[in-house]
Amino acid sequence: MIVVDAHTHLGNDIYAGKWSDEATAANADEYARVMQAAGVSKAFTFTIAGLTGDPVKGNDELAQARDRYPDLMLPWGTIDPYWPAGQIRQEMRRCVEGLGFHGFKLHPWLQGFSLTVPGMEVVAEECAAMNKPVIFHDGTAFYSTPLQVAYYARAHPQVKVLSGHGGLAELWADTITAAKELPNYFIVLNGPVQQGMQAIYDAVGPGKLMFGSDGGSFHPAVVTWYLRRAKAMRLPPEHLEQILGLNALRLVGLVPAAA
Amino acid sequence: MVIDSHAHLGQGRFKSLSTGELLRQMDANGIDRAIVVPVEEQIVAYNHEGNTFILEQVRAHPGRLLGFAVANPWFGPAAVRELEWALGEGLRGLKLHPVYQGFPMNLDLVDPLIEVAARHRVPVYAHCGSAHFGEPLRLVELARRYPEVTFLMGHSSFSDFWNDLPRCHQFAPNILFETSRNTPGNFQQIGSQIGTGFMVFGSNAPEHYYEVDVPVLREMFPDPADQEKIFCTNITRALGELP
Repeated sequence: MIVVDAHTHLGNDIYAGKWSDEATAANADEYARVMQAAGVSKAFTFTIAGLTGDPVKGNDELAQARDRYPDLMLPWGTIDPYWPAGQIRQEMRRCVEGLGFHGFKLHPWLQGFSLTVPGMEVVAEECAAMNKPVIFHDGTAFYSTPLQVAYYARAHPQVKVLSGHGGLAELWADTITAAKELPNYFIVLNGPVQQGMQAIYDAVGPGKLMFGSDGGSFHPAVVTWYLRRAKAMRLPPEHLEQILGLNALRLVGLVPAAA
Repeated sequence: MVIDSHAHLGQGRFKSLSTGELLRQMDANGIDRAIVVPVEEQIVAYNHEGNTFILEQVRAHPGRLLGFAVANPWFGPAAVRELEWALGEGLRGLKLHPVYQGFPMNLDLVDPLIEVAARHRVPVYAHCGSAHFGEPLRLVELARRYPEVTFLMGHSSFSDFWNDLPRCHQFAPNILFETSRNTPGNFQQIGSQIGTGFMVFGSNAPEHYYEVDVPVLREMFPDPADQEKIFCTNITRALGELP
């Protein structure tokens, strides 16, 4: 059964006393060691340093790490929504057309923006034009609630939008209506309580759910713990297979949508 | 000994768990004792019904279950009487839920209940991790008013309040950090920046499964001395003598 981790970050330990300001080759090696030890075959890989510092540098570091581990890492880029529109478009195009990235990761509370700022309209236009998804940190007041993410998806039906944390422990229930109503809204099960993961699956079904761990920048146990939690869900093996890997691969076009 | 410091018993809108099922899960996973609290309706409105039910379960299983009482501070003197009664009958602490019960944790509305807990020398568990009413620094404000009381910070304030935890400990060392809902990334932070002497294992059952959450804590803290603190002695120190 192929395991794809749909939420990981490249960078050093965020509890080292500061946010990571770079992602080195050694970070990539450690990331690969953790993922491979946990049995993760592929991962959506996001920057940390590019969220708190220079997005372009973060994107370049992701590309370098992917070149080191091309079979493992599926990078997603980032931008600063406060940039001028032209700069947003240029960097998003560079990420996809130049670096071969698979989507975009944005973190409203860490990057300090609301999903309603004008730059996010530019992000939606570019995602739609290039047919690339966007994933958001969610589950946190005041810029990252699941309803804020869901309404971004509702406002931009042509863009595939991912709830990066399924609303976390407090707000997971708010993802259910959105996932049932919106064809373009998907959930990474990286944060709801166990009972919430089960409730989301029971209500939404397996097709829009993905395993994710936030691994890479946290203790390696986050990956194994979330894997155990996914496997502890009450569901048939073919649905687990979808959630653990196939849905993520389909999202980025690595297996046919009808497979 | 392994103690689950926070589990819900009863039939609620969001959480439903029978005593038999909890005991079965405890037996299957090496959990010796659990501190049980009522479910949401009883936390909010039907305090006496919940406390009576928890007392019945504790009395039926005195070697396995300990109970915390609930009292909604908006009920004023009636809440004080209810808590006095429940603690007098044998419950071992107070459970607060500022979101369900509808008060900012640091509001002096809750002080009369904390004063009852202080007189009975029992700990106070507070749900934390919700923006506004359940913000962890609100619990710190309360804990600083009552330094003689041990407070358990529910869920160690998961979701995204982990940045605040070292400061919480710095200014309110009478707070213990309960682990349910939280993640290995944050356990690492609490263990390294605050210390295992302040971590308390809890499941928030039926929200989480012992078979998933207990192994990860044992793997992350392999030293038996750390495990003894997280799973047992930190909470027993707060509870005092066990039956």
